[in-house]
Amino acid sequence: MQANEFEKKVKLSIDELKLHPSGKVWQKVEEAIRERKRKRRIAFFLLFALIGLLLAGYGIYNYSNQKPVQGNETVSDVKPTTTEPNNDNNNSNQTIQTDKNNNNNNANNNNTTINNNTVKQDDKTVTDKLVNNSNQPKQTTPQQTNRRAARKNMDENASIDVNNAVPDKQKKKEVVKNEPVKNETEADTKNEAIAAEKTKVEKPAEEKKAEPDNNGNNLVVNNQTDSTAVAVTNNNKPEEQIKAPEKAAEKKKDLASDKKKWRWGFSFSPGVSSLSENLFSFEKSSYAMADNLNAGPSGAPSSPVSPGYNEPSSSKTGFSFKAGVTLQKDLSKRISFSTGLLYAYHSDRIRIGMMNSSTPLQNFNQTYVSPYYRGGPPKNYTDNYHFIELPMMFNWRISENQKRFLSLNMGPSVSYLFKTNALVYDPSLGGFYYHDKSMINKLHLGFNTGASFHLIDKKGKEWTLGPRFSFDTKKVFKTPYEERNYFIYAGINIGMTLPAKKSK
Amino acid sequence: MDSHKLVKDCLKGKPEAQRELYHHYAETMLGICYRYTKSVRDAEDVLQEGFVKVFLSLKQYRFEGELGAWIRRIMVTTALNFLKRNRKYQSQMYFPEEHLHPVVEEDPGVILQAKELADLVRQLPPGYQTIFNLHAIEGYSHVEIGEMLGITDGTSRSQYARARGLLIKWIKEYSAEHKKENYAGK
Repeated sequence: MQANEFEKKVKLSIDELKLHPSGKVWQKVEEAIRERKRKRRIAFFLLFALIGLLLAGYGIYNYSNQKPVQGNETVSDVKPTTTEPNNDNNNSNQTIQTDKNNNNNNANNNNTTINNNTVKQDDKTVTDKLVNNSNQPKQTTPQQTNRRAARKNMDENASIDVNNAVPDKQKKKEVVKNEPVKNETEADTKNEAIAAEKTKVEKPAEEKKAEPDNNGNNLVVNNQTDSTAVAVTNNNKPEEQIKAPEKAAEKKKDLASDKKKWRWGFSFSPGVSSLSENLFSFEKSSYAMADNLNAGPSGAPSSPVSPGYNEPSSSKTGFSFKAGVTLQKDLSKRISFSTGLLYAYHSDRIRIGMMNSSTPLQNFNQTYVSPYYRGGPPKNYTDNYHFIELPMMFNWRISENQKRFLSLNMGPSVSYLFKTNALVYDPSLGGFYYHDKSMINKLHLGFNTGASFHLIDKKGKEWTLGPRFSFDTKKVFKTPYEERNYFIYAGINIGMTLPAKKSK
Repeated sequence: MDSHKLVKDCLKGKPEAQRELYHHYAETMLGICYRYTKSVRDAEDVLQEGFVKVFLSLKQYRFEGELGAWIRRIMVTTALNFLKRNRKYQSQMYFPEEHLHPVVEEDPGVILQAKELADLVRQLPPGYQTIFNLHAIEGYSHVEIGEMLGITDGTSRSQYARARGLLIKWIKEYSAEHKKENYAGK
């Protein structure tokens, strides 16, 4: 046929056409290839860096989440200990000189030192006394016998106010622990006395009077130094010194407990979103090249699946934002955990054909659909996605300043797509778009990462600002013909966390 | 040139292999892109975009058929997409429904050189130009063309007939003028 002959001649002739391109064409091709590979490498690097940070954060969390050592130990917890002899440095030894004039004079002028660790005036007082005999001859003399008897009485009955004489009104007995006589004097430091004390001395000693024990023995606390006396405990203000460390310890405990509480906050993150072809890739989806590349005109060796006008559209970025309430809790000095409930809006833009609703089309599932979008001059269409998101972020503080600091944030999130107007692509009959929510996955698992700058104001509110990125790990569409697969989001996170309610 | 080895080297990312593949097919592909566009600059843009797609999609080449044919299909697809999204051509890519025009059986009898023929094809309106390229040169059927461009096959046939008629007429006029010049030159 002549018509076919014309086409053959034209094809033969025109196929010989060769034109030499300018040098910059190859330069641009090369740059584009390198750029895409560089972006891929950056995406993989970010992925591995995030995984490394996550593992490091987990390791630091485990390391720092150790039981704190208890700094305050009560008197009852303290076991009486024997110390090395330290007569020269012993400032807390106190001489108790028995009254020779008492009826049962068990004490004599021999050195008898009694170390007291704690003092209480009420019945709960526990006083540790370690009675030491220093340099006592081993011979048993009448004096020693008397001394032993006196000590025995003391062990049974006496409670002595070591630091201050007990007023007559308050004749309260304190229990003296039975401690064996030791040849060695015990060193009792001032700090131990303060730390171990819990009792409050109600009144400072005004007088030093002899306080008879049950056996009528008078025991006098004598602060004056004499030949028989040894250095006196130096507790001039025991009340305040006892109170100050207690208050500091309590305050510390309150602060620590406040930090461990959950703190409410708000978060808003405007940004952009898109649908990428590959997981964790910034590459925008392109149309289905695989089908096109193995296609050709009819009569060609490969199967004739035609490329062209109705291929799946690429996804362009659209506006996106997340907003909601957050809860934050400090896990350690540097690591905190935050979660919350957010509303997330994502969108992307595609190019589709004209809307047709006259005759339903049959899709690849053999279902008739109407309306559909196909043919005609292409137009823009915005897919809207509405999510409820539950983020779980670990925040790692990377600077020391308490008021202003930087942190790295990362963690997974679960989100549920509760509303969308997205169109689904079907390759049948040249390709068209239509609405089908059953082809869209509702439940998504994503990964968030970012960095934040934190600023704590005078009222204790914590303001945060920083970039935030999100990657989705689940495909959006169930159909295999879509190249728009994974959500990606980039934006700026603005947050405010309220201070924890202080402990009463 | 061993296309298998060349493709594998390109997949390994060897720059010299990529450069060799480009230079081997660039001139032919530019000729194809030239037929679809109205300027050399646009043709080079299509060529650049097409080769980027070639290198990024090379892993999908299954060694079925010639490498040149595979690249050619990418170029044609790239050219069509370029026409659709380029505002300059968009308005002219609209194909109104027309009454069926019978294909003219007449043969001009002469065929011009490739460049001259290509220039005549490029003078056709963009719609006619595209359909003529797809059917006469690339070999797509009117049904396939209709699906590609979102038109009926009847519209494709009609537009092609008009394009063919115009082209034959221009070929005759061109060859007649060329003969006069040769005669005058003598």
